Amino acid sequence: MPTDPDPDLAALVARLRDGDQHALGELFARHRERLRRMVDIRLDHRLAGRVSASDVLQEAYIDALKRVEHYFAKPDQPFFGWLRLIVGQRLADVHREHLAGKRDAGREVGLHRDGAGADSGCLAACLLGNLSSPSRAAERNETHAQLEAALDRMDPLDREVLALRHFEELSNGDTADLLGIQPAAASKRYVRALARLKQILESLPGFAPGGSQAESAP
Amino acid sequence: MTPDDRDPVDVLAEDFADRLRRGERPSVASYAAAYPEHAAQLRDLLPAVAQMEQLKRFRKVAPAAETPATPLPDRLGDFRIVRELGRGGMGVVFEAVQESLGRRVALKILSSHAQLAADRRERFVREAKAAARLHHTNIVTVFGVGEHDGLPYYVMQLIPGRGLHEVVAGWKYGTRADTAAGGVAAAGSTEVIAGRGAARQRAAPPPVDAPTDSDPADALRYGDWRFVAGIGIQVADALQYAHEQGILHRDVKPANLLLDGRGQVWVADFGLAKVVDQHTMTATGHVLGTLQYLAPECLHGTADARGDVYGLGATLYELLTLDPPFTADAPARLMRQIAEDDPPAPRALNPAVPRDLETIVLKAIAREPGRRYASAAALAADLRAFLDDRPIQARRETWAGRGRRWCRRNPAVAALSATTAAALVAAAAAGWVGYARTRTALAAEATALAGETTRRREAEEASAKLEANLRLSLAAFEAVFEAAGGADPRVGGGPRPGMGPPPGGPGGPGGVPGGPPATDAEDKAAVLEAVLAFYDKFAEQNATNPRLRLEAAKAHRRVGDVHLWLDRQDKAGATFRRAAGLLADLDDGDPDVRFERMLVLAHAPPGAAGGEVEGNLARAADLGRTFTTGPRRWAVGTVFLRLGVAREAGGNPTGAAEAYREAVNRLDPGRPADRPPPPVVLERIAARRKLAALAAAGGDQAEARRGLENARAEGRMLLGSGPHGRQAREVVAETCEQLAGVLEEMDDPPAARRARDEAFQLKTGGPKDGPFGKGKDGPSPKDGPPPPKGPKDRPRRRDRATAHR
Repeated sequence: MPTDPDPDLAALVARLRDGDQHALGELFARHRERLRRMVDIRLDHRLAGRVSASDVLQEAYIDALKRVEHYFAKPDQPFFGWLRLIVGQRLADVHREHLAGKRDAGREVGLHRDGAGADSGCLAACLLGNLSSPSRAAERNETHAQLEAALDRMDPLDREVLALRHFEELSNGDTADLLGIQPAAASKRYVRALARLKQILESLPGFAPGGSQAESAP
Repeated sequence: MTPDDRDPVDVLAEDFADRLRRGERPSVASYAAAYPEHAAQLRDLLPAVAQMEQLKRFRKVAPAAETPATPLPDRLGDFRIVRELGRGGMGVVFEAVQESLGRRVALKILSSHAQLAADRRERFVREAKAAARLHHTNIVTVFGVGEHDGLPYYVMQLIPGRGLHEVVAGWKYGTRADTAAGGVAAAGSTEVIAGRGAARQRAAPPPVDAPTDSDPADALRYGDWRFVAGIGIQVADALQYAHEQGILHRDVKPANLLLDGRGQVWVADFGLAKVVDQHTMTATGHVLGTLQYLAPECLHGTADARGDVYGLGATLYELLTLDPPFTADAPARLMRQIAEDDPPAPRALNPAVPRDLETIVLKAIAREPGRRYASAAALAADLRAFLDDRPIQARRETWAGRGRRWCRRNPAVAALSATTAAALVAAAAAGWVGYARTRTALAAEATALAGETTRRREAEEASAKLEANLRLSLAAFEAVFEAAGGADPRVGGGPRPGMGPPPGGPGGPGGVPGGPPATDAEDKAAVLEAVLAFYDKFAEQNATNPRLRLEAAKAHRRVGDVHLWLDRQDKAGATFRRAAGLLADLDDGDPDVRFERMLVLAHAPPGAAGGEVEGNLARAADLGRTFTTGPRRWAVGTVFLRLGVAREAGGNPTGAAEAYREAVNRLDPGRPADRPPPPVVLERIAARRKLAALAAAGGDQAEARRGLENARAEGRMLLGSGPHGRQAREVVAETCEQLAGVLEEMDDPPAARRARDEAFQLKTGGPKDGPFGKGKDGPSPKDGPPPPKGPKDRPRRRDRATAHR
């Protein structure tokens, strides 16, 4: 079984394996922020108001509780990877349940491959989070549309790499595993995607990297 | 994996990102200096990394940042700010002193996220000016309007008191919502509890015109219904006055209604809702607090006086029940509720609410504007009538009342009003369209990716799930049919005895009355017709899906049955023709199809299924020969019974006898385990009696006697209390009389007398020849043409006539 480099986490996983269900709650809590970001950027924006990221995580937690034995029967990946898989499956179910017939075939492909792909709209919303400061409110919608369009034009794999590396804080190795490509290729892709994103951001009004974000700190 | 596999810039960027995540502030320049060979790339890309890392963190706090961190200005022109009174969806309210006049005022600054583009700002000024023209004892006076650093604000009368939302919160949570001293501190919490109020105000020293600082809410207790009515009257008067000036409020809700120290209510924020962009409201979640009081038609942007009536009605509803009419916790759900549901009646939530007050409030929040009070004045008048114990004008909504009564009578069909069915139909149809599209897409995908078995499997699974959902909704409609049509256990909701043969035909086949009384049938027919549209749509869109065509055909046939029941020959004919058309291309190899085709042939009035009645029945019987077990076997038996009646009428006693014999056989249990329910037994008795009558007419009295004795024995088993008990008693009595006639022919008077005695006992108190005894010539003229309208008694009479023929 791959052990977690963090001894705390490894101890928790060991407790869980020995049947201590509280350990799962604690593990979930430790990873919650990352899992939540994962859901944030993948939850279809049309579900806003109907399903929240917390709903998805809540249900995924129950799924995990039910299936945790399967993990220990065949622990072929780190525990976080497995948790992420569970959350991804739950997310796919949520999409299927709520958007049956509303997702076009293109999206369905992503849906079936590994839960939901990082949605350009969600990513754009994430990246624009700071543009809600009062002076920017008016620009926001237009900028959002531009950013979303630009992200849409990116190679989906590039987009996914950025989402995994930064929003989910996965390592290059985990990212490569998840996408089924070689670590070296994943690394190259990441640098290329960074360059592409930088171009996109620079092209947006009032969004030069390193510029405006500080003012929006609460 | 070693770092060597990786792009060195990637490794450095990761390091950079890690440090950011730990809260350090690494400098791009130092990285560039340390790794000169990558300096250009690092300077280029690390800022993008920083951007993403920072944005990610800010995203969650963004909504919070939207509640304005408006710096508190000391002064706005003539106004010296004293303190903040509260903040809500639209802005922040300050207490201020207008120095030139030395008076205390409330000053509302529209919050920054509600900032307005130039044209909107103009509109805001216009609205505020219009509101400033309103002078009424229950309207907060607007003194003026202005702008500060691009932030529009307006100045109004300071009302010492609290919003009604706080009053409700106090009742609901058993706490005083705030205290006189701690107004500002408490503002945030009450906002959270009671929704996003706009103009919460509280002044430390009450103005001169407010003689007391005792808070009426201290004395207020929940359950003072006259107090609620009094509030309603004041607000309605204020709204009426404003409406007469051509000004709508557009956002009547508890938070905009202020209760002062003397129990007087003040309406605040006239016309402002119109100015604030719906989108910014949605973004802040403010929309929830407003939607709950928003009239349904306002969701689509039309508003008139009746929208304000609704808002007031919803507010009164909350004062009566402590909850707004709709309580969903997400805007989308709430909007759906408002558009589709009826709120629970206040008395269902608190039985102590006076009935008249409930009636008034429900009328004020009727979904269709046309059913509400036409004006605020009309609402005020009814509230006054309530206070004076005079009769109110509002009537409990008749349709709803009738519907509820009907549903109580028919619990299984509860909520089957025509509107409910229509909504169901619309929902199901929409779901269906989605299903069809998704399935096409999935099929295309599966084909395109034929090699990838996993994906195809997933596509198939999704498809199966959709199909299952569809079946579920079909099953729901099936249940609707069963419930509304009064399913008959013999035939799984199929032919109903006593439905009667086509007009002009011979007497009815079965001797078993059943089915709903005519008035219920009318209701049910209406419901069923609504559902029928759904099936038609299904069938249309799915010409290639045999299963759905079959469902649609079944539905049409059932509705045709109900039309026949109601003696609507034209409609019945058309409906059966449609059923036959839907079945036309389906494969008879499918037993379900064959069975359905049999039923259509057997039930259709002449001409509707093509061919004549007797021929149709013969074809139906032929189709049914393979059904040898359970309810379907019995259904076939009924078909043979009808066929016999038709042949007898056509002057073919031999053929008729053959059909009756088949009927008797088929109405038997097919397997010992299948115990036929009483209606089936009654039908069988009817077949036996007809057979006996034919035998007797042919001179074979012994055969007739055997048959009738069997019939009597079977009938006796049913005697008892059950729902069919009375019916069985009558049938057995008639069988006994028929048997007595045969026995007399056979010259066995003692046996005949015993049979007559039994009949007499069964018809307790009736004369021996009974009320029916003379009816040997068929139905009496006053019975009119079949099918019978009052199935409880008439079919029996007709049946008896036939039996004696």
